[in-house]
Amino acid sequence: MEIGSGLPPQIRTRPQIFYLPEDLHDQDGHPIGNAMVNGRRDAEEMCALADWAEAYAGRPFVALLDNGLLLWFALQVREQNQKDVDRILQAYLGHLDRLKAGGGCVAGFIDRPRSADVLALAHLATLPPEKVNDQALRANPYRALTDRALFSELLEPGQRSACFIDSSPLNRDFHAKGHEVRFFYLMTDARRTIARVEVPAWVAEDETRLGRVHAAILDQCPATGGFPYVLVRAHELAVVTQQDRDQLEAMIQRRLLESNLAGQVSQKATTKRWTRSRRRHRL
Amino acid sequence: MTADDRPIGRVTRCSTRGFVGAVRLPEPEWPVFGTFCRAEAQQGRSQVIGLIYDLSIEDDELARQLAASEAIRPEQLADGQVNRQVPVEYRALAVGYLNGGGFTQSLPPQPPLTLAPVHRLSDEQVRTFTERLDFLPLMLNVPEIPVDDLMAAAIRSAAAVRPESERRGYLVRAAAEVARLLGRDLTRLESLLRAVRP
Repeated sequence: MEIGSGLPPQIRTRPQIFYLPEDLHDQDGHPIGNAMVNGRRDAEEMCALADWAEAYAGRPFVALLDNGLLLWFALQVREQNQKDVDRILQAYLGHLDRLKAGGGCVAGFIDRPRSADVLALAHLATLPPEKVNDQALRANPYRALTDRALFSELLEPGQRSACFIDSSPLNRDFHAKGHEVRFFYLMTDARRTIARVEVPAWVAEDETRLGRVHAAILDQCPATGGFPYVLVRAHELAVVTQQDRDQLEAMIQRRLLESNLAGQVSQKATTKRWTRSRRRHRL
Repeated sequence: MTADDRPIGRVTRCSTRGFVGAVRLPEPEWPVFGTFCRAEAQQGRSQVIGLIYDLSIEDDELARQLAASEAIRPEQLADGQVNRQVPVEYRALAVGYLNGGGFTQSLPPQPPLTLAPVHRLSDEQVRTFTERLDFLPLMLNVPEIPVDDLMAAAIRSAAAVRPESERRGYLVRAAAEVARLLGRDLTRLESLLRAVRP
């Protein structure tokens, strides 16, 4: 979306179907799980943004993701799939390099954040240095609260907090490549919606880039209740509907029949279809 | 693919009496009331000829949210009107079919396939199909559709694709057929004739 142009935004989608044995199995030949699928999708999304950024190189742009910047799937599967995780992580960091080189900004937008990193920091600040240990850190009196509750009191509509460094061990790889993840909280609209916005260090440390991310998000929020319009539309376009699934299923069935193969739906799926359109009576 | 070749949607529900199509096209390309169209049936061995009689726009919560907002950006407005092609649903009444033997003006042997593409009939096809007027009695007693308006629109569409010199003759011939069909209901006949008068 080119702000100020009055033109309709350009839309690009990159649908892919994964079906090869190497798509469906990990380094040890085991079927991959949801976490790995999420990790691959995150890397592909960053790749798509970096491709677009290269097309816009030299012009001010903000690439916005509808989640944080850290690859959380790595925490879940790194022990079992070290090689696969490293490969995805390095690809992801490479795409961040390309985004940085394009001269623009990238940010991850987290709606209704549940993290309490700043409150944990506030607790730490109350401890004398000699008393900082695991037990003292766990005795955090703010544990039941979230940063969102704190900043909904401190910020006014349109304002953002200072930038903080994400303390997750996942951030070490990002730090090593110059993409250490920082975050700030932002009150996105007059209804006092608080979002967490994650940016790489090279955005957080550059006043112009940071201001651009801040302004771009605020620009997108008023018409859609505090959640950026471009992300609302991205969701709408990305969702795989039941109709899409049915069409793909029908195409596969047709190809199988053309090859004289009978594709059979499981009896469980068949019986689910029998009952799914039943009217439900409510009291 | 030219604009004429481009499908105007796909079939979502159907019966031998007609079919429902859905489309996501910008407003200028929507089909209009009384458009002759065709949809594939019998694994491509025939095409059901339909006459579009009802267009409706699906409900959309984002559009309502944006309409109620005072802070909509020009780019968002343009997005809603250009990119976010509103899903339009239309109903078509079956008035004939096309197969190896040419056009036949009676109900088709089978309804179209679900998701079959729907195309407008070309001017040449409309001319050939409407040469006979046996599609008019097929429409006469269909319940719950605006039969008279649809008949008038179909006759006007059929006349419009003919050369100027043939139009009046065609309208007179169609009016005579309508008079034969509605001879016992002069009020309806008068209003329909008024609607097709050049």
